[in-house]
Amino acid sequence: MMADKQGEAGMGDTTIRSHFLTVGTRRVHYRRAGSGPPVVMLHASPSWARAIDPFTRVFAERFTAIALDSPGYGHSDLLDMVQPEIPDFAEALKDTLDALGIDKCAIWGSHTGASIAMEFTVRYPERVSVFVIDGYPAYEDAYRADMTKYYLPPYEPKWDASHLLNTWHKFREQFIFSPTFRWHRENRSSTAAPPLADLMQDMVLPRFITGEAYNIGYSAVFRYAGLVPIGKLAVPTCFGARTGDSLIKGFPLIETRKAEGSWTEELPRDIRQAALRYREILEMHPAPGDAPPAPVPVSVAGKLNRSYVDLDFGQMAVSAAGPEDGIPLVLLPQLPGDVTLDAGFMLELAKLGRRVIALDMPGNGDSDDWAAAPSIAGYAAVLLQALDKLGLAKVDLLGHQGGASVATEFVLNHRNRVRNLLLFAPLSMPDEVRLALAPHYAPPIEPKGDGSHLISLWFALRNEQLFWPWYNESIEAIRRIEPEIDPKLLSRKITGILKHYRNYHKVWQAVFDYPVRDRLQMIQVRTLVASIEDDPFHRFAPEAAAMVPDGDFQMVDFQNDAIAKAVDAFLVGGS
Amino acid sequence: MTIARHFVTVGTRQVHYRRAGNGAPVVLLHASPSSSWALTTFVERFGQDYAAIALDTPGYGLSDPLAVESPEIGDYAEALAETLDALGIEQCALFGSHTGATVAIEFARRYPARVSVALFDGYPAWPDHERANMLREYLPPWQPVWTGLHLVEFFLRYREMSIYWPWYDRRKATRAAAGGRNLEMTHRITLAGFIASSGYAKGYAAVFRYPEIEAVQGLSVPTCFAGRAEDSLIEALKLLGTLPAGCWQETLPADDAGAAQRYAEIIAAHPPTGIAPPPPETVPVAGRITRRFVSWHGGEILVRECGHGEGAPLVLLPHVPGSSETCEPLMRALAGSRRVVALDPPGSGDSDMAAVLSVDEQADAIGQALTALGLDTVDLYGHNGGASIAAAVATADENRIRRLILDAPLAVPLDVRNALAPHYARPIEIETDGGHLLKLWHTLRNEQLYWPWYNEGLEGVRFVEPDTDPTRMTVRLIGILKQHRNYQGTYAALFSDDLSNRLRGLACPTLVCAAENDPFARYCNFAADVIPGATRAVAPSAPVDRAVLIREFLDA
Repeated sequence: MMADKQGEAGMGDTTIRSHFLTVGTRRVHYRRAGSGPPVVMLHASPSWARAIDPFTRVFAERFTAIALDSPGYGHSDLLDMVQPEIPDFAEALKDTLDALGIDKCAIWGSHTGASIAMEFTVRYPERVSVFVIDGYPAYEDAYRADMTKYYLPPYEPKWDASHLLNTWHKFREQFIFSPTFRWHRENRSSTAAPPLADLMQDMVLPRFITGEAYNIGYSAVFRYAGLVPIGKLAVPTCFGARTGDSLIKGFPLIETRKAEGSWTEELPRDIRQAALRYREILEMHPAPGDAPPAPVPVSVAGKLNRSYVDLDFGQMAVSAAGPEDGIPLVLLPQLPGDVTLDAGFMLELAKLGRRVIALDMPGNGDSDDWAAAPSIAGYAAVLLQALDKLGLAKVDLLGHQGGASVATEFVLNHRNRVRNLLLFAPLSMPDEVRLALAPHYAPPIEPKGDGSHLISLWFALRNEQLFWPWYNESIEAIRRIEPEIDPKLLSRKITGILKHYRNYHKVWQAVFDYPVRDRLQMIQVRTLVASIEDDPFHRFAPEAAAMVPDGDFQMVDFQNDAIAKAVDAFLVGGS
Repeated sequence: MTIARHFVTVGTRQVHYRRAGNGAPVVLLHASPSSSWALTTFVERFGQDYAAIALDTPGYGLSDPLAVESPEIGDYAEALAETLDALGIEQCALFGSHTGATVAIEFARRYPARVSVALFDGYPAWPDHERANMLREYLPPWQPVWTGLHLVEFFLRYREMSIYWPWYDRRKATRAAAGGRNLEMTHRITLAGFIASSGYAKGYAAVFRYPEIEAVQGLSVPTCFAGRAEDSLIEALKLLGTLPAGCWQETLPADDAGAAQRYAEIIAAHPPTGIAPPPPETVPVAGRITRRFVSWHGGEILVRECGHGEGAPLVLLPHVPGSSETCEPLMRALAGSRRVVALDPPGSGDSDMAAVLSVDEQADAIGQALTALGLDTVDLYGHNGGASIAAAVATADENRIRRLILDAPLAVPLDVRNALAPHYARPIEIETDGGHLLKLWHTLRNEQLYWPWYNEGLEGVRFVEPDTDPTRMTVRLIGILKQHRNYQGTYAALFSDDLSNRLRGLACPTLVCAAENDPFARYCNFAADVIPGATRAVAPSAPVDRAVLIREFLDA
C-alpha cells in the first residue's frame, strides 16, 4: 500500500487519508480526500475502499470523496446479524451517513456497492443528489440462482493453504472466464486479462482480509432481486460500466426497465478516463453544501479502538484498548507484522484495567508505506514522533521480536520516556547466529500468476513452528513443542505480512542488522524479558534477561489471559 | 546391477515388475501408494545373489487394478499367488514394506510352503480405535480440480507424514521422528499416488480393515519383523505381543543400503528352493491395451498395443515431453480395423533415460524399437514433439513408413523458436512446499488459454474451446513428471531442431492436421506448405472423430 500524495497541483489537498468512524457499536473504516460537496463511494465485493483510490483521487479534485469499507470488508466491522441482506446494508449506509453528518450526497457505487446504493437511493431519494453506477448487477433470476450455487464456496482456512490458493485462482480466473466456473469458448473474456502478479496480489489482499466473511455481502447481491428497483429510481442515475466489465451484458435488462432520468453508458476501460467521465456526471448534480469534517471515533467496549495518527511519513495505524487514563502500555508488534495477532492479548489487558496502545510501524500492517529504507533506528525515531503526537510523555513499552529491537533502541535514546520495558522473544542471538540466519530467514516475496508465492510464504511461516530455523527440515532441526499452527491464526499472520509484502525481506533484514544483544547491557530501566515456548526465538530469551542489568525472565503460557496477567503483574511491581 | 522392467499377464490383468539378477527368487512388495521403484536399493542388493523381483501391487505403479471395488488383503494375497504362478515361481523369500508386509503376511499364512522366509520392513498394526480414525481421516478422496490443488494437497500430505504421524493429528506427542523427508522421495511417492489416482486409497483401506495383530499368531514360516529407525511404523511392533516360534523382531538401520545388507544375510540363512525362470513373454490381453517393454541399445522403451488388422500397423508417437498414455483414447478408437502401437520415446513417460536425446537420436531409438517389434512397414503418427520424431523416422528410412500423419507439428519459424526457447519450458525443480506442481499445472492449463502460455496479455488470449478438464490435465502432467528432469531439455532439443528442413525431404504421403485448441495449431500451415503434396485437415478433438479422419487418410 502506497502513501497517497498524488493530488494535482492547484486542486487543494487531495491526499487520501484513512479514518475510522463509530456507528453505534460498529467500527466503519473509510478513505477520504478533498473538500466540497460529498460524494460517497461504495466498492465491489469482496474488495475494500482502498481498491477504488484511483476514483477517489479524481473525485477529490472537485468534491469531498468518501469511500467506505462496506460492513465486513476491509477494516469495517460486520453487521450484527447472521446473514444481512442488501436492504440491511442500505440501512447501515444510512446510519453511517448520519454518523458522518451528511444529509445529502452524490453516490457512486461499483458492483455490490451499486446494489447497496440502489436500495438506499430507492428508500431515501431525498438524500441522494445523483446516483452514478460503475457496473450494476442486473441479474435474471436463473443467473442469480446459478451464482448462489457455484460462485461463492466457503473460505475455510486449511493447513495446506488451499483457501489462499483457491481465492487467488478464483480472482485470476475472473479475467479469463465469465462466470469463472464455466470453461468454454463462449465464456472466454475478450476484453480483460489477468493483471501482473504483483498488482494482482494487492487486489487479492482484501479477500484475505475479509476471509471467512467474504461471501456475506457478496451472496446478498445474488439474493437481491436487483431488476425490480431499476424502474423506481427518482433521482438522476447513470448506469455506467467500463469496457471489459462483465456486467455490461446487463445493459439490455436495464434499458427495458429504467425510470425517467436514468441512462446506460459504456465508459473507457482506462480508470482515469472513466473517473473523469464519472466526475462530469457527478458535477451535473452536486449535493448542496460541503461535507462536515471527519468525526472522531468513539471507543466501543470489548473492541480495539482503531484510529490513525498523521506523522511525517504518512498515516500510522493506532489500536487502543482499556481506560483512557494512567500510563499506557505501548505495544510494538513483531516486524514485519501488525497488531492483528496481538488484539486478543490487548483486550485481556484492558480487562485488567490497563490502557494499551499498539502501533503499526511505517511500511507494516495498516500504516502507510515508508519512503525510507527500513531500519531499527528509523523506527525508533518514528516512535518518538508518534508518542509526541499522541501526547504520551511517559509509557511502559513492550516490543515483540523485531519490535523488541525498536523498543530497546528507543529506551537507550529516550530513557526518560519509558517507565518499564518488556521484551518479548527479542532477537538476542549471538552475532554468528544472527549473521547466519539473515540471508535465509526471509526470502523476498515475489508474486507469481500460479500463486506459488502464497504457498511458499505459508509454509515458511508454518515451518517456524516445526523447525529451527524454519528452512532446515532435518531431524536435528525439529522443534518438539506443542505447535501453534492453527490455519486461522496463520491466515491472519500471512494477511498482515501481505499488506506490505514488498517490504517483507527488507524489514527482516533491518531486524537482523540490529545487534540487540550488544545493547541489552546498556538498558537502564526495569525490564522483563518474556517469551512463550512456541516463539521461534524463545531459545534466546533467558540469556537476554541475564544480560539486562535490571532484567528478569519469565516464560509465559500461550493463552492471551496468561500473558496479560504476567504483564500486568510485572507492571504493578514497577509503578 | 541392471534392473529391467517387465510386464507379466495374469489372467486379464497386467502386472508390472522390476527384476535384477538370477537364481533363487526373492519377491518384494512395496508400501502404499508407491511402486516397485521405491524398492530399488533392495532389488539391487538382492539381485547380486538372487533373482530379485519387485512387483507393482495391483492398482499401483503400472499394474492393473483388481476387478474388485474394495479389495481386501486376502484378495491381494490371492492375486500374488496368481502372479507367482504366472512367473513360474513355486517358492520365494518374501519381502514386504508396510502395505506390502500386510499382503505378505496373509500370503504366508495361506501358502506357508511357498515362503522360505518373510521379511517385514515395517509392519502396520494399530489399536482398534486408531484404526477407525485412520479409515476416517487418513485417506481424503482423490478429486482433480481446476486449480491443480489436488496435486499440491497430496504432495503436502506426504510431506506432512514426516512431520506428524498420523499426518492429520498435529500435536507435540504426534511429532514424527523423521526429519523433512528427502524431497526426491516425497516427489516419487506423491507421483505414485497421482498415478494410482482415485484408487490410491484402496491398498491402504484394505490394511486398515485387516486384523494385523491377530494375523501374526497364524504364522508358521520364519519371519523377521524389522523396525527401521525413523520409520513411522516402528512403534507398531510393540503391539504384537509374543511372536510365534521362528518369528523375531529386529531393529535395522534407517538407510536402505544398511538394511538391505542385513535382509540379505537373513535370506541367506533361509534360502528358497528352486530357481526363478527367465521373465515370460508378455501375453496380449484380448480387447485391452497391452503394455510391454522392448529394448534398444540405450535402454527400454514402453510399448502400448491393441487391435489387429490386415494392413500396416499404425504407430503413434505422443506429445513429448509426455507419455503415450495420452494416446489411449485414440488407440481404442482406431483399434477396430488395425493394429495400433504407441511408444514412449526415450526420456519420456515410462521410457527411462537419464539424458535428453536429439531428435535424430530419438528417431534412431524408435527405429530400433520398431525392428525389435518386428514392424517392417508401418503408418506413423506423431503429435507435437512426437511429430518431430516421426518426421525424422520417415526421412531416415523412407521404405519403412507407408503413410505419415503429423498432428500439430512444431513447424515453428526460426525467429519464433528462438523467442520461445528460453521461456517455454522452465526446469522442474521439486520444492518442499509443492510449488512446482502449481507451476507446472498452470503452465499446462495456460497452454490452452494463451499463446504463448506465459503471455497473459489480451493479445495472448486464445479463443478456442479449451481442454482444461482436470482429469485429462492430470494425465498429461503425470506423463511429464515421470521424467521431470528431461522437461526443459526435451523442449530445447525440439526447438533447436530444423523441422522444416526435414519436412521438405518427406517422400511418403503425409497428412498435416491439428485440433483447433492445440497450442501449435497455428503452425500447421507452415508445415503443410513445405511438405510435397501434403494433405491438410482440422483434427476434431474427440478421439472417435479424430480416428475417422486418420482412418480415411490411411485407407485412401
